[in-house]
Amino acid sequence: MIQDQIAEMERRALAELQATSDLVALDEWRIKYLGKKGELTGFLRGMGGLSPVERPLVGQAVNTAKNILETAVAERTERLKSAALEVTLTRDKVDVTLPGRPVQVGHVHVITKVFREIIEAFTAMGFQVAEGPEVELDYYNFQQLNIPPGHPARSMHDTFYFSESVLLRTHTSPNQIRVMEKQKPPVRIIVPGKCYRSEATDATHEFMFMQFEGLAVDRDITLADLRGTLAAFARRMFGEERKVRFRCDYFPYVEPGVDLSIDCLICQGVGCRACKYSGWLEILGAGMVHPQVLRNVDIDPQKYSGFAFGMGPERIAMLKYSIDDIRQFYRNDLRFLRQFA
Amino acid sequence: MIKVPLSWLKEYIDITWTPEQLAAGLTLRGLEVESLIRIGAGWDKVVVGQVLSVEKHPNADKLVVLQATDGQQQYQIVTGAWNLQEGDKFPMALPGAKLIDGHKLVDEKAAGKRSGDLLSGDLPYFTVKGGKLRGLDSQAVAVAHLELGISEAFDGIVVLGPVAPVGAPLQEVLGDTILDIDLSPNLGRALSMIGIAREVSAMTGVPYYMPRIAVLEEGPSVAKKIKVEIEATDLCSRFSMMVIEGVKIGPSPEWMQRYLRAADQPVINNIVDITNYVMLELGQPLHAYDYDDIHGKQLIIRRAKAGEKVETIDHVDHTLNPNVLLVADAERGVCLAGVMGGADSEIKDTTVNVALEGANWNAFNIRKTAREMFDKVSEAAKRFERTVDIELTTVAIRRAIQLMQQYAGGRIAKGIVDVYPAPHSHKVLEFPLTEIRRVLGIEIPTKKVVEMLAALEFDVARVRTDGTYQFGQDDNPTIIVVSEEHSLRDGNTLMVRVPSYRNDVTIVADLVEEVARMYGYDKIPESPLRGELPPQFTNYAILVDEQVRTILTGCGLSEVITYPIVSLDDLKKLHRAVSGADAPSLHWSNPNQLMKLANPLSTEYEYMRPTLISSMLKTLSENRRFIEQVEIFEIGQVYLKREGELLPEERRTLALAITGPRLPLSRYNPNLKEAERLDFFDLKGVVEELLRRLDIPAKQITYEPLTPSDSPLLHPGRAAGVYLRQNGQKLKLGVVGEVHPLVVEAFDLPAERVAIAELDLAAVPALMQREIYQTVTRLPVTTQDLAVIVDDDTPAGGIQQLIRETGGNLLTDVTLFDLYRGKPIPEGKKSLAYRLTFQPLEKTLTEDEVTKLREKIEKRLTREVGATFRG
Ligand SMILES: [Zn+2]
Repeated sequence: MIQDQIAEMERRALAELQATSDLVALDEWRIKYLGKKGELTGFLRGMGGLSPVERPLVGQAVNTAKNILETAVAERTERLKSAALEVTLTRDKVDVTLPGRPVQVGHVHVITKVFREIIEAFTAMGFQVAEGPEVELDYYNFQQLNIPPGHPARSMHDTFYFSESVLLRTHTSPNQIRVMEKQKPPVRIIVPGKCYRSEATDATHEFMFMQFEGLAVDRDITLADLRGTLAAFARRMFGEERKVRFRCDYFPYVEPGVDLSIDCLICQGVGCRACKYSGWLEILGAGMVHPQVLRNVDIDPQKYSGFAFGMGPERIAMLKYSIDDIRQFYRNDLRFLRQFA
Repeated sequence: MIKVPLSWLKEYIDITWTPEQLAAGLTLRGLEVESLIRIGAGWDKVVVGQVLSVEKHPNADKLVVLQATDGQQQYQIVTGAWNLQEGDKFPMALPGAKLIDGHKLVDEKAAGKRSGDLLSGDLPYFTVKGGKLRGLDSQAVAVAHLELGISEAFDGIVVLGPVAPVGAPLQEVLGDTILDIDLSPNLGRALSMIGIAREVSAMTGVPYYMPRIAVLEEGPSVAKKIKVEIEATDLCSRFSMMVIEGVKIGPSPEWMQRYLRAADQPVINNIVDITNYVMLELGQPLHAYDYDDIHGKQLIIRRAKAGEKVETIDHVDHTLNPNVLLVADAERGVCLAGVMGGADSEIKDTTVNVALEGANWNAFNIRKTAREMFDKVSEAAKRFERTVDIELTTVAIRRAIQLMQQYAGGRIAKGIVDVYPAPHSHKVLEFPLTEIRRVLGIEIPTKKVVEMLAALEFDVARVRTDGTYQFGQDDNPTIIVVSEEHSLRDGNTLMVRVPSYRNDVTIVADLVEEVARMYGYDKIPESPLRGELPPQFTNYAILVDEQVRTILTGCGLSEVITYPIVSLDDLKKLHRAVSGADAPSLHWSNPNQLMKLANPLSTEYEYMRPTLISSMLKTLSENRRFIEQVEIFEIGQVYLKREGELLPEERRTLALAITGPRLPLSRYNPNLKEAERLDFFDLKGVVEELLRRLDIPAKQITYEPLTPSDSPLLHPGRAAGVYLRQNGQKLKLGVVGEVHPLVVEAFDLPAERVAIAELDLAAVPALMQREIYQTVTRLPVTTQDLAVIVDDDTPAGGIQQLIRETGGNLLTDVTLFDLYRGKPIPEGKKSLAYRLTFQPLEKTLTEDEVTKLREKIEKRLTREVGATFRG
């Protein structure tokens, strides 16, 4: 009986299928049983010699066998594939603790980082960024700021000179004059830039350093506004919880003069070496623009008032990042600078 | 600046606040207390001892043996100091006491390991132990000033006053708290105990007292003893003098020595110490002359003659110029006025008669002389350059002469010589109270304002509605005010008379500050800025800086900031590769074309840089010692002298520098030594990317080979000028290239490729233009590879340019992906392989269209550069 032969083939084929161990063997099996010239087709081909009664029966038997075998091979394929994938995945395993491939990205200078923060804080309050020359006239650096020749404040500014009237600016304050010569109130400006003092360098002194000048002039600007503006800046820079101290200080181009301190970041105001046991760290000098300075640029001090401030981003970076030697900044050792990336 | 021992301050005011409160309060008011020095805080086991006997050490000539007592027990002390005598009281350190190791300090100073103040910095200590010295027991230590840290004196044992209780802890006798106050230049008035007492009084509300001065004048009239003439009336506004005869020079009283030492002043002899004491007490510097050395018994205040010589008391000979003011006698200068006395007329052990000067000098002149002629500004000059109360001269010399008679004996000549051509008249300021609200942003009741100013010894009068005002009873005339600016009839104006010692108060704003000081800066409220916002604008230079930083850090470079002041030597190194004949044309190392400092710190920092490159190479070199791969950039100014202008052009410039292996050491790049090195093309890639991202159209930029004379510091074959063509103009943006091997060597860099670029950043903002965006379609793209064979020396840049131009709109990308020489390419030729990307805009490209474009490109290349094609 052909049906018996078919049943026998089916048993054999299923047994062989169970024995296949990879996809290659599976393909061979498929050709052998289900292929165009395979055994199953062989039965169909032999159907010519059968009676019309037998033919549909055999045909049905072949179809049934075919269905069984196809379902079986699909299952088997699925199983072998997942086994093969398993092998591949196992083989691909890596030591995830090995370092990643290096990516080469540079970093900006730490002072640039601080500049960005300062600029951001003040532009949010309507200040704009201006610049001025580093090689400056004595006229702007001193005279217009109420520091005539022979003024004792000059001894606080060890100055590099090119000639009697030309020098390297010792602070960014000449830009108060330069800005107000061109722009009448309202003025809100910050001026970053390099400054120079001809003094011996040590852990807290550099002959070149950066400074930030700020200036706001308008009607009715008061010391309370100065305090509000700078305290807001200090908290943004050093944290909301910072205490801010205002004390009297002297700069010839402001009156009253102020310096602003925050409570020591290291000892939280208790007193330590960094704050000279005072609990306070000075971060900037400021004051109300001196009436004479306003008059020098033809602004009527009876009508207008303003405040000015100046700060050193190095000092701010030193406090923020606990850097103990200012010389690190411009030595440009990348092993130092890369820590601020 | 000034050291204020609280023990001394207490002579003038009761101190009701703790030292910490005083320090904080003074600091808030502008007198910055730098530190609180506690003398005696560490003097455990140091007590008052008394000498019972003094004998020579039997085995050592230089030692003595003391028997001493602390009142309970007898101690034997072996010491090298000879100044103690039987009955003297002295600080005796018992075993366990910790003292400053004076010998070590002195040795370290001698060896140059310490500079400046002996008692600054970290101090070495030793602990007292009993032991044998040259065979004799030494059970305690007799202590010198240095060992206690109270002064630098180390030549004898401290001798305590006779009232010191034997056995008492030394701290109770010599202990003190010292305020170390840093004073800004406007605070000359606070350079004295009285000045500080005034501030403390205004702050605490406790009154202070001036020392009581009573002078017994019994001698001949001073007018007969000395004549004074002020010739330079512009530099000396007052000169007062008294004379005392028959003094005996000796040590000053122990209490005075202690105050002087605590205040960091030298102790010399009674006369000199008294002048210093009174200077510190009242703020008026004094000078004592040996009267018998004043020739002609006359003093003339005059400018020095050019070349005139004076030896000062520090035994330095000075040759003077006419800017220096002298006090001279009939024959020669006897004092550099206000700065330092002359050696000829100084107080000596043999001095008998003393002429005492109290004068008021021009602050600018003093400042100039003191700073030009001396390394250290003298105590007198320190005060005069900040201006001294002109009313003080006679007060101070009377005070000093009284003390001199008390502690050195003698007879005081009658009267005072007082040359005072233009007596002081008090400044009166009109103070509209509205200024307080306008400047400080707070309201303070008028009554409070009056109280505050009165506490600071300002005379205050309210202007009445009829415009009149009157100061306190002592002021006879009522002055009628005429004022244009302020309405006086609102009763809102004060007239304020300024004390003579307040030279710093000249305008209303100064009074506002005084009010703020008294009110308390810490009580000023915080208010945000209000009002109109000024016109807003974009600062393009800063914007470009920030873009450059973002792009370059993304390219792997790190930012550095170097000193703009450089050395001529370093600039010359840049021209190391140039032979002599070409050198004169090199402006970078031509000192005449550079901004040169007149007073540089050293030749290392002397010229304003005309280029960033020397600093970049130095930075590379310094980093290369520690790091294999260094990739850096700097944005900074170069300084270019301008003909006929005082100030140079400060031009914003960008420099880039890279050297080392292309990839860092990792397991993918295990052999750094063999690894590929960063070179010209790495940096050119960065420059290309940078300019593209700065919106400078790539089409407008060309890179052209540089001749050595264009840029002598660069490799002659591996350097390009970066040019920009815009609107028919050709502009040089900078250079990119490898550094000449000789220059690499000159900067101590390892002998390998160093690529550097310098670009004119100042030009960039004007050049930035947004390129028109190209539409991107979803139509399929066609790529074609084209291998072009040309002569070896044909620049690739031109070929790419030709391909682009010929390809037109459809050719959206041309990428050179291979450069090949060698077989089968003929000798002297090279093959450049390009991938061309065609992107249709409206409909899919046919093969025919692509082929036509390709043929067009090939024809043009053949025609213009004689190209053949491969494949
Ligand atoms: Zn602290």
